[in-house]
Amino acid sequence: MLPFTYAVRNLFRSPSRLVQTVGGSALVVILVMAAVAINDGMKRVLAASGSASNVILVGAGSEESIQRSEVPESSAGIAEAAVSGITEKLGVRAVSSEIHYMNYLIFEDGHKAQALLRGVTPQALRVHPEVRLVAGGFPSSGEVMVGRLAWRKLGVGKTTLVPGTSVTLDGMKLRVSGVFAAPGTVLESEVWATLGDLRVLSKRETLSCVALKLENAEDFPDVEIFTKQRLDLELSALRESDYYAHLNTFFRPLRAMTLLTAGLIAIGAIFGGINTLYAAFASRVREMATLQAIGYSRFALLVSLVQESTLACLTGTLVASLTAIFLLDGQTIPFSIGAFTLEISPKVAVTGMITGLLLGIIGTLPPAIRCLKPALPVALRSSSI
Amino acid sequence: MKPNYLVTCCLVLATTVLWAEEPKSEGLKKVFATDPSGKAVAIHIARASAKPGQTITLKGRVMGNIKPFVEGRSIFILGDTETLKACSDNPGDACETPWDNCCDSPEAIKQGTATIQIVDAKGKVLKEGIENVNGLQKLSYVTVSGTVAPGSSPQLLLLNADAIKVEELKKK
Repeated sequence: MLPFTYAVRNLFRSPSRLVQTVGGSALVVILVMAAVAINDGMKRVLAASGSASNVILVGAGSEESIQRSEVPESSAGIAEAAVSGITEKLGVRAVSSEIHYMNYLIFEDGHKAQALLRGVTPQALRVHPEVRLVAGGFPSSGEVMVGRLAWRKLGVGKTTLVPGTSVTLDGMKLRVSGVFAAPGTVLESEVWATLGDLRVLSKRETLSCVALKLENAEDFPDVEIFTKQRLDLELSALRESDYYAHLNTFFRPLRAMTLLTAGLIAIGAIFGGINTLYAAFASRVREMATLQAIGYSRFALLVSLVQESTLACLTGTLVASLTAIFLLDGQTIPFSIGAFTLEISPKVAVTGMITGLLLGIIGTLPPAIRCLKPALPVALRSSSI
Repeated sequence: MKPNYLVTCCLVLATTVLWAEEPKSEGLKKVFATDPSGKAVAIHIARASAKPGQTITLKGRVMGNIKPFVEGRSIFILGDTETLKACSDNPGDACETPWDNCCDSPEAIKQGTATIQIVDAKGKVLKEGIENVNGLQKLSYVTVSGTVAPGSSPQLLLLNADAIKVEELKKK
């Protein structure tokens, strides 16, 4: 076998080619890492947003979209009294009447963006215990409380949505009363107002849904029984986790497109790399033949060429990984129903390393084989230097 | 016989034979072992006059809801065949969930459905699934007799079943 230092020294014979290989592979690897991180981030946020012990009562036939659902106001009280197994603390049962409404918010700087608004009562905090106020207070009439990632989803600066600022919804000025966190869920991108305000602003006489928190997730059939025993209310019971799992399925094609795009670019990069290396290795046919003449086998030379290229690609992978950790990790990405944070997890890092390795190996093999293929006498007389 | 009706017949018969289960609890065994008594009436007629505590017999079809059964519980939705039509009965309809009556108006569904439940001595719905028991499944024709449950009104018909008979598919 050729010494490893031979491959390392060869790398620096053409600095421009080295920069090209390292830069190209870094770009491909970071793209693949970003695609996997986006895919995982979206899946993670949707999976974490729904609790198996939470049940959503929506209007029958509106199981696909809470915004379109219409539930009679009286349903919350009836469900609270009729369904057994609802979490109860200090004599108050965890039942939340909610209006989910999508409309444009106008900010103080005149910027306009579509927001997902949720009209709630303080009861909502019993059903969504993951919601924690991190600044300010719960909204009163004429106020809204914003999720800590709402600014990203709405495309405004972080300071645009802090307690004391205001937003305008349908001509009504609403003061931001507080900021809440709900780690890892889409709730963090929402804007919460009082149920009364949102009822008026959305011109609704009904609720979008009634959310319940059960003591035991296995009591879900009892809520379903309630909806069957009260057909007059025209309700349908959904596990919150199932609702978000369905949304996850809805976004699957989008995630597949992200991965497909990254995959196609990676394939393009491999072909680009093959093309560059064909030219580079073509000029080394005589050098390889000379090494064969002094006793190195074709396989040893192939390994050395692969080592050389893989080393360059893995350097690119290292650059990409460092860039991903410092620039991508923790970035918030908005999507239609919320925002999620990118995480450079071990899975993402390993995917990046495998991509870099494959770029080095697959991209090198065809040109290396072509370089080593000519018979020794022919290769030694090769005109290329 | 129309082709889509033939397909429905074959599917229902096949699933009846292949997936029919025996009732496990004594309560459910008794309900399926008893034949409904009295003259069976349509749901839209019965609901107008039914009073809690009254004994009535209903005929209909398991439909009127996207999920007419509740998993692990003895309760189902019965639809009125005189006012509601399963989507699969409409020629050329390829609806994947014909038992939800999406082709009928919400008001017609509301007026043409009743909830049938099998309860224990305390009035609680039995914790035993009823789907596929004795061939009872979505779109099955059923005759059921029982007592009108408390809380029933002309807007809401809830029946505590004493006897259930799953009919064979009717011939058109």
